[in-house]
Amino acid sequence: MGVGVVAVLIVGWLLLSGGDIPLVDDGPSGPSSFSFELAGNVRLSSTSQTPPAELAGAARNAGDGVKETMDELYFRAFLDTDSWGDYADAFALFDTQAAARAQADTEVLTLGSTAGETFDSVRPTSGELAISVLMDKDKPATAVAEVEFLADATRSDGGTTAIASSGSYYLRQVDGAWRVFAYDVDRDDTTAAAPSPTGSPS
Amino acid sequence: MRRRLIAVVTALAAGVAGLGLATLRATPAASAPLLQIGDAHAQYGPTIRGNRPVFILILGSDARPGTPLEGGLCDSIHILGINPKERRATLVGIPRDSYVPIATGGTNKINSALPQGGPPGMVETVENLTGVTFDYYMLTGFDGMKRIFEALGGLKIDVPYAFVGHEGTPFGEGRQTLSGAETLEYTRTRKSLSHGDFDRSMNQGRVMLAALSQFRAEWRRDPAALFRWIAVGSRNVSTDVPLQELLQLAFTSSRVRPKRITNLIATGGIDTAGGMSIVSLPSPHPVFQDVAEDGYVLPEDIPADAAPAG
Repeated sequence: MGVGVVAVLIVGWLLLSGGDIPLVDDGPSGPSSFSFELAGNVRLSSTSQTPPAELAGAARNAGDGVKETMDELYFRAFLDTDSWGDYADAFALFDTQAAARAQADTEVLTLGSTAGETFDSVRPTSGELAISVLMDKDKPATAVAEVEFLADATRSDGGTTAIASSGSYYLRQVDGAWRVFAYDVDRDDTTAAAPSPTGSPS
Repeated sequence: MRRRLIAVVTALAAGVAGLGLATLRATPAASAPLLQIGDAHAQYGPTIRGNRPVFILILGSDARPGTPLEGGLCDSIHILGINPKERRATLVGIPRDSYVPIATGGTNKINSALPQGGPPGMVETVENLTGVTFDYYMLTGFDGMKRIFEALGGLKIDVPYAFVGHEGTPFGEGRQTLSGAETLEYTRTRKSLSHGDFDRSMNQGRVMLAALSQFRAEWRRDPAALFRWIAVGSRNVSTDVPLQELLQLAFTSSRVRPKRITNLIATGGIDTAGGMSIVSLPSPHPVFQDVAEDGYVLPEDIPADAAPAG
């Protein structure tokens, strides 16, 4: 009976708050996974004359695969405390050529090489993903994922940083998995200083 | 020849870290103000890289709707040279009436090479004429040209001078958006232009440059525009460029600013042969030699008669 009431309250809260699916699956030491919200349906372009309706199912499936990769990428790059400072798991989601370049762009594409020393915790506040798929010979050939990701990080010095990552990732299938082969990504973080230990200066 | 491009792309992978296209501007952490804002940008795309230029033969067939493109005369012939290292490119128009040795045999107007030997015969004929080795060709026709720009919502172009098209459309000077049908008419009109086929060839080059500018602008606004352009192009252009290499070409073209692309035509003398009006090209032609060397012709190196003002 009590459990039922709680369930009803949770469902009611979800409905009143817009029905958003939680972004994270929290574990004891922070999020253990991350899931973007999809902004609309997967957009479809095709090099063939096949009616789009006949390709929609394959495009949706491709979209699922792209989302899986992007969920994993942002989890490993920002939220997974075990990955902080060593983003091999995140860069494994890039193809060989892009991964080489991504290493050099670590400070933009991830929480940063010194995340372990800089931050205590990070929680996502929103994550939105729009996916477009290009079908070639009626099969998904490449995709672009447009990302808007926001998170709040608590710094080791007591301050906070609002993490903002946005941009586009181009993906193609490598051995059956969707991998990033190109990207164009912006970071626009805002950091508030730690509270003064002596209180207000006035 | 495709293998050479793949080799170039592979070389890109090895040296991509040095490309320097990404920028990173992180606010220093020292002397923290009350509010610290850090912004940064990272960009990577698999462009073609290396010292070797890439050449594409761009062809327009006059095949009537419903007939194979390869069966029509090739009335639009352009060499596109891209130098990835210099981030420069050049379009060279070849007059369709150029009287040249045809790869399949004999000497004739160059536009007959397409129906005689298909795209391979056309490519070989132009290679023999110019000394350029092509990596790819692209072939479209009247219907394809019209449909491309209908599907893309028209072509934004700066028309350098006013003229009346062969179907009576008045093309005013200045920036405007042409419909698919108007774009086709713009590229086909010859008789009302002061230098006839030479001017028509220049106009065809102008359409390609305008399309490149439009593509870049749309891609900047919408990352998925890349797919829309590739999809529309693929449905209306016959080509031997595989999709993955088309993507590399697209990323490469995004790095070549239109101002660094020269548009010119290889001119020659007007003559007759066998009762036909022909264009007699000098041999060797200085424009072909220049573009074959490194993929581009600098504006100051364009011969005066290769870019008619009319």
